[in-house]
Amino acid sequence: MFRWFLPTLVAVIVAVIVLLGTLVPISAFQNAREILLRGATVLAAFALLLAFGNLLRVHIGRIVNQPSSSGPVKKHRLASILLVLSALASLIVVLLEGPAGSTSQILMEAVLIPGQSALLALTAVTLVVAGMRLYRVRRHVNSLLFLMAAILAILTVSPGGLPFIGLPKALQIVVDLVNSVATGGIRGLILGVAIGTIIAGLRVILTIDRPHSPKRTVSR
Amino acid sequence: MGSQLIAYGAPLSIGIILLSALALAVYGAQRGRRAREARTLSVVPLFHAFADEVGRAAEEGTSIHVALGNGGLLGEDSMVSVAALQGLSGLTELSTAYDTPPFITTGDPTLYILADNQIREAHMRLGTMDHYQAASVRFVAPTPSLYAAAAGTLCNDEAVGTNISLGSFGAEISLLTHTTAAKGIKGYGGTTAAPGLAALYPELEADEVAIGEELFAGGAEATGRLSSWAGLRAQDLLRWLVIIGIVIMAILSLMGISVS
Repeated sequence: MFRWFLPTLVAVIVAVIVLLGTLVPISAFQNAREILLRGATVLAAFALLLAFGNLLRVHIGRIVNQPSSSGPVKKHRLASILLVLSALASLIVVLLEGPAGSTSQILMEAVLIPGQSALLALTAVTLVVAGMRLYRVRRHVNSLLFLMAAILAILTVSPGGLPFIGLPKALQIVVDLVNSVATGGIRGLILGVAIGTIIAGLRVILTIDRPHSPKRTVSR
Repeated sequence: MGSQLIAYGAPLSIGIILLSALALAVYGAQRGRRAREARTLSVVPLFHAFADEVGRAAEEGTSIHVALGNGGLLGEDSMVSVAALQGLSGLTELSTAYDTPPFITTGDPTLYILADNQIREAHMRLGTMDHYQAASVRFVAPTPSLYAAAAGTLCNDEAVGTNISLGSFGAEISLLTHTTAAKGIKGYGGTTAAPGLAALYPELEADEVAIGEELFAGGAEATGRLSSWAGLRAQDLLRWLVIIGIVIMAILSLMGISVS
């Protein structure tokens, strides 16, 4: 009973206090909310340590337990070795110098930021390739509408429209129409997600859903 | 204290009344006859395909990769990730029973713990804890683009037959979907953010993607619980209330009446 009862009780009490701290302008609730949120941040830091340990365990397992050492397996083992060494080295550097230290900053500016920038640039390429694959996956008039919307989006992104031509008035009207429809669609999407989020949160507070504790029974 | 409450006035009262009404609606609707009838309706076909994929993975000796994204429990996408995990609960139970558990990747440490808990619980319920592997749930990278690239690398390296991307993603998910498409891996996906949907839309067919709020139907589709269907009905009710409110505000605005 304690495997599900205690986590559920803690979750409900904390959720109610945080909710009251958000809605009710009483300093006691607001202070309690702040304390609980700070505690959650500390717990998340410990979760990061656990996750980091899992990352190391998986890759060390890959290094140690591979059945053969040829071809792709050798490449994977090398990648895992590099990952484990770089992860441990980064951890040691940050522990010794702190995140604002010179070596930490060099790692950030010379390795992490360029790497992420390269991946974001690659994202643009993969999105274009996905667009080209669209007609193989979805042979439907909606794909044509998607293509037209993409072309109009490209026209609006470039300042002044097409080079040497600008943006003709007729096309501007179409662009404005598409933008208003798209804005309405995005807002509808966001509203639907917001409603779903509220209901999902209420279900956790009412203990209908208990992602934090083991299932007892499944009611049908 | 009383004066503070009075000063806060109408917005607070409305907020508390609305939340209380929603709570009653969610709790009460699960006992209704209509919730039982609604159980027969299928909202999102995506979640029904998972059982077939588990069978296919078991036959072909491949694995199912589940990408949960970067929506951590402390962020605004926490409920999106919780809903995604609920939608996957049927998959994890069935695949654990077939002894072909999916391998799950996450980009957030708190989400990693939740996902690991779900796999571990599935093994405990089936009495197969000796088959549980810590590597079946992996935290791969903390940032979205690194996560998508690392998950794509894993799909490339391991014998993956199916990729399911369910959770909070941005446009960087195209790094993963591109890899799976290039390798001929069967794909499914769903997210709530528009850039992520724009990346998934060209790669997946209509019944392979969950758009926006359809993600929150996963729990009902996977478990069939009356309470889950009641939650969907409460969502529908609230959506209609919002639509009516928008129409009323638009009419009042046209008539020149401002409501502030």
